[in-house]
Amino acid sequence: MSETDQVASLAALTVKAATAYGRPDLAGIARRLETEARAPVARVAVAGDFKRGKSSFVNALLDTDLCTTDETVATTVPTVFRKGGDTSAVVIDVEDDGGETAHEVDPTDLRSVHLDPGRAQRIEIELDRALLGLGIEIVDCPAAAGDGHPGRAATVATARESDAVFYVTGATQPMNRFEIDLVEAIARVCPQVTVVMTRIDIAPEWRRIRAIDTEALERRGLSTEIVPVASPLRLAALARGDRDLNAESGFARIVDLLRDGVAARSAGLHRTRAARTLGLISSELLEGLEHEHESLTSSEAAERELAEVTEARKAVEGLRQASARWQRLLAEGAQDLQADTDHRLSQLGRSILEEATEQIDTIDPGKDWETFEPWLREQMVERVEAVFNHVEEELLAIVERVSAEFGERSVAITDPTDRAGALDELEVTSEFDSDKMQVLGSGMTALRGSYSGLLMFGMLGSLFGFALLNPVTVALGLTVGGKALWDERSRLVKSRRAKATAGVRQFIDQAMGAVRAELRRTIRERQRTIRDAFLAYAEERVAAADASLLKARAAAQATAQERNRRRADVEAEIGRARELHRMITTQLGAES
Amino acid sequence: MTFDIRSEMRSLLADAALATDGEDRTTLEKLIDQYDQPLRIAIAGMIKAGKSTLMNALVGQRIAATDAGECTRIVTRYQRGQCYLVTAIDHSGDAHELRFDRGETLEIHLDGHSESEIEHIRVDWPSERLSGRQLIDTPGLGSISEDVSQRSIHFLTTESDFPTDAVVYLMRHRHPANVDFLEAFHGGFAASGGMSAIGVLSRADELGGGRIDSLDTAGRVAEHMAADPRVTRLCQRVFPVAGLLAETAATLRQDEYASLTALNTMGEDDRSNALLSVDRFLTSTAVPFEVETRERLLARFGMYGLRLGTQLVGAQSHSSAEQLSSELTARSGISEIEREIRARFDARRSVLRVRAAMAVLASMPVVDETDIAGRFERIASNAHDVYELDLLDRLRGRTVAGLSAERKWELERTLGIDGPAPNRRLGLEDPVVGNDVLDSASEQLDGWRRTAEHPLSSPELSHLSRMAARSLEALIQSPAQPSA
Repeated sequence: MSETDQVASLAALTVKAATAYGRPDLAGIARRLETEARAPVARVAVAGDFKRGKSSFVNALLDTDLCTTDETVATTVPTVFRKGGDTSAVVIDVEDDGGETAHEVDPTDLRSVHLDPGRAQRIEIELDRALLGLGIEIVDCPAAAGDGHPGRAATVATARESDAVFYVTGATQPMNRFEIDLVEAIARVCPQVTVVMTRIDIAPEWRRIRAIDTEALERRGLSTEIVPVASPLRLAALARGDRDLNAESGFARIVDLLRDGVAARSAGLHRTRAARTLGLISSELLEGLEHEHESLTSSEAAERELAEVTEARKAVEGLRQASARWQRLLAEGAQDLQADTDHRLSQLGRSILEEATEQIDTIDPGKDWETFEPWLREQMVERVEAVFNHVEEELLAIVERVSAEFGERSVAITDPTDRAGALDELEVTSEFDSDKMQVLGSGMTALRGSYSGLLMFGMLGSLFGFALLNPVTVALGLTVGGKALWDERSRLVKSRRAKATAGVRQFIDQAMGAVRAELRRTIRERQRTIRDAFLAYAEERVAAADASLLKARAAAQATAQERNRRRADVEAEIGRARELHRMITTQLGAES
Repeated sequence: MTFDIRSEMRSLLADAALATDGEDRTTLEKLIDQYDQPLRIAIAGMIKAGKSTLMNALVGQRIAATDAGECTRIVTRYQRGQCYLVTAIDHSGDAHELRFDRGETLEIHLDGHSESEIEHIRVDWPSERLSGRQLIDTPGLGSISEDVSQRSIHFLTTESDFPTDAVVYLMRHRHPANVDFLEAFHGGFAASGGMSAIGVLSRADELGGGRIDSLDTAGRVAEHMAADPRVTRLCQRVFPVAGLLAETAATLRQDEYASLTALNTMGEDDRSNALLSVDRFLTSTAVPFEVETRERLLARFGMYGLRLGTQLVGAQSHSSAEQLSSELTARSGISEIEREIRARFDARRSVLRVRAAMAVLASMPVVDETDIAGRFERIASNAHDVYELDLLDRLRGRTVAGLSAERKWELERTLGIDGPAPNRRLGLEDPVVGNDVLDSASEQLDGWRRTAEHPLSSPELSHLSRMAARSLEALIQSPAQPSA
């Protein structure tokens, strides 16, 4: 039995046990773990600058020629590779209502696929490859150049949503500043970054280049591994079935990283979390049964139990009321966050406008617009990204506050003291987030949605352009010579600056309007998701409390003889629950 | 009597200098100093774009150090000299002679001078290829150390004591830093702007992963780049060059030719196996050389050069080192760069100098003084060549109402964007016969006159057409200029 199957079947067992013992709340949590265990997908992003051999790397890795390596066509959307049967490809478009539609395209001729610039989100390709069968999906990001390049923001956003990133650079030259910057930015949002150094087959000095790159990365405090590879060697090795050549191509290490590092790690992360949670659930089931066993010793004990359970039922009932404190906390939290975000955005818009105006005063917009515009866009993307980050952090804080309202039991699931354990043990910060989101089900996926907003913003920036500033109104009196020419020029520059400032103001207003709407939507949707998840959890808790109430009532009304019989039953149940707990502890290595 | 604009300007500059004092005077004196100097052509680009390698290929000798790391850290100016001499120029303009060794390449000892106190290094080198032009090697942009990149930008774009006349700009791909630089260069150098850049897609052999067809690949990339308006604003066309191949071809030695021949005679399987990757080439037991020889061959040819060279020496037509050298030179793309430099820069030396002088003078109060003003106006009214450059500068990267892209290109060509030689202005294949030039010129002249007079032409279009017509009239008056 594979490790994931083991987790899944133990989770399934726990679901049964929890249902049988009248604990639908715990059964719900175990059921979500089971679902996750059955489909753990690790996302691996492949990023890099233009012409560094990124697409060739993906092609060689997956033994395909689907990635466009054509020098003149720059892919503008990410390409996602997943495990499938026959090779197929779809283009995913976003519709006006925010929904997505897919239409099939010919996978062997992707370069001629028409991508609707405003709508096309990504290309998804299904391939029958054992590597993808490990539970990995590979995302080939559009090339990302230096500051202000739209590909850069998209790459960082994709990295944030990925479990690991391969950053591709070439062995024929050391990494430049923009590349080092980008690796640093990626490492901030995705801890598992590997630098892939391609073209070692044609770079005599690749070992030196690697040393230079390693040093440059270390100077930024990055201890990123650099894996040297040669894509043509891998393809030759696959064609000949030559194991040695494959090792020489460097791809053996890449595959190891994917299998043992990414896939296993991602499964391992899930396993550790599942083990801990299942351990908690089974011991809680056990405690409940022991408690029941205790209450069956005498009619006094049974009466005491009934009183306790009735009290607990009342407390739990409060949780599902619309007037529950957690509901208020959530609503107020979201409202405050909304106001705070609006404030941040308008401040941000003002400060960008100020800086942009300052910039414009030093340039001739007619000439320098091509460099100014990317600068402006980069400024906005960077700061808007910071606001999105802030929103994510605040939402997590709200989730924490809300879950505290659910008392000790749910805290056991989102126990803050567990975090350090999780961190030390796993050294992966993203795990921290998913742990907290446990009640909401599949942790990170809940987070993923909101970044489409950021990606959308990246594209938005390019839509506006600067059509209104086309310098058609260039002076005609060129032959006048002498000073007249210069005066005329400076007058024109002034008028262009004024136009540019007005254009920029309009651009910022429009962009900020779009961002504000997107953030509102995000916050509202996330608030709803959180509320629904906790409401469902509250229902489960009430159902569990009802079940215990029934049991306690029965115990209180029962005769001594009935109690004894019931006690014998419970004793047997305790034996079974112990066995479940033992299985979870020994097979999954969970702490009791 | 013809009006010699170049000498008129020279004497005007001298008189203007006498009529001023302070900063303006210093500026003018510097201008006079440089007025008759050879053209200064800078080689600039991103870090590791292959600038030093291209420099060496253009000089035909390995002077500048080239290796895998970032090696050019100080701006270095190469000029023709009577003997070998290396001098450091500091920021106050003082010169300090430096020690150097001539090993594989030139090795300069800074001897206690720090990099930051040196404005640039001047290398005097007795080479024919440096006659009439100086070549300037610059540190790369996008260096991990921002200072080093700033040195290049400073040298090329500010009021440097050594203004550059033209730049050969090396790109490895369209890159934002490239464009930043092009913009900075463009802005700071507007005075002689329009004509001044040749775009080069460097390290063309690596673009196709070192495959034998890599240069075709590079050719397509170059075309694609040249279609980008942001690139077009500074350089009309982009030429792919395999710099390492060009450098090695220019300095190919007999023993290297012999080595390639030895590789060619290896068994087919052994050879393709050994040429699969650098590590295989270095370790394959079938290769009949010592490790040091293999390393040197790799450093000189690169994988692409080895694959190509080994294939070429098998052919009859490349049965000597000289023949192989010229074949490799032709394949490297360097000849096109040479040709562009000659056609566009060398042929425009006077105009570029007059234009730079006009720009400086126009911004000084002295130009309003009676004597100077009159002579300045006289020069200005005879400076059609200069206005051609101004116009080209302003036409760059924009559209003109009523002018199709094709027609706009014809206009720019007529104004001399491809070089001032008649065949280049008329878009004729060279060599051309005198009558062809005249026929073609009159025909095109009629076309532009009609456009200029057409009632529906906008004032701007009429103006542009008149300028083109004037260029053609000048051409018809003296059609005997050599083709280029």
